[in-house]
Amino acid sequence: MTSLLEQRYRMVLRLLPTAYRERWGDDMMATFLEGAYESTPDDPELVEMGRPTWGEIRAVVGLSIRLRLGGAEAPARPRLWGDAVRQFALLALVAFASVAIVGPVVALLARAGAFDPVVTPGTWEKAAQMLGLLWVAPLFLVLFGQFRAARGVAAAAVVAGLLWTVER
Amino acid sequence: MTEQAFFILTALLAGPRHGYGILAEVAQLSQQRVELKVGTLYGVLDRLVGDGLVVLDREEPHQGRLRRYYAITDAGSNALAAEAERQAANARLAARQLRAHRPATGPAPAGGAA
Repeated sequence: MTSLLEQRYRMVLRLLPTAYRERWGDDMMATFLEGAYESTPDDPELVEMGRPTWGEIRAVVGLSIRLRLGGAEAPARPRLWGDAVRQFALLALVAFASVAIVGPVVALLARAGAFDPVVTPGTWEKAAQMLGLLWVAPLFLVLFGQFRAARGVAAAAVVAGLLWTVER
Repeated sequence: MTEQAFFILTALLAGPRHGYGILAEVAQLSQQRVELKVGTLYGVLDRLVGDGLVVLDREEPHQGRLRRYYAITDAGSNALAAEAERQAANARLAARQLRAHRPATGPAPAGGAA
């Protein structure tokens, strides 16, 4: 009979690509269960009612992402997909950052009297401009190799953009 | 070579081990500093097998499940030796620069920095 813990970890393993799961899934399950029983040797029944820890789930999620969108060490096809996704993300970042810079520059020029503003931006438009500037930082962070920080700020920009859309 | 691959290969030097055996040995060798998750272990193992640094050694039934034992290959121990030498060279370099450029906290060593 399979325990709850086993059923739950099997659900997590479904995140993995099929070919990979067929090759390694049983072995992963055996290793995972052995580790779970070893961690609480006095109470196997408690172990069987348990859930995989977040750390174990995160490791499988991370593996699944790496297998599908692999980097330098991944096989050819996932690597190709990974490269495509990364390049698209970079292009999108450049586009967002460029658009974000144009707004304030136009506003400054208008204020300096270079031309009459066609429309006067309202509060919401100004908020959108400020939020847009959030996209400039990750671009420079990427340029200077600060990928982790870039991901964080870009994620914040996405969330802020979504909130802006919803609130409006 | 990642630190995880480095520790997994090191753990296999003493003999073939199964998945949990590798996790336990890596934790012990690193004094619990490296505690691999299962998903991490098999991501690295898949690559090491693919690169021919590790092979499946044998399968043994254990409490209704198959335990698969993995062994390091000659190519694996060569790669590990090269990586260990590279890290040792880096460490020597850093230690030499530290001796030369960091202000001494205790009494200066006899002869001092070159």
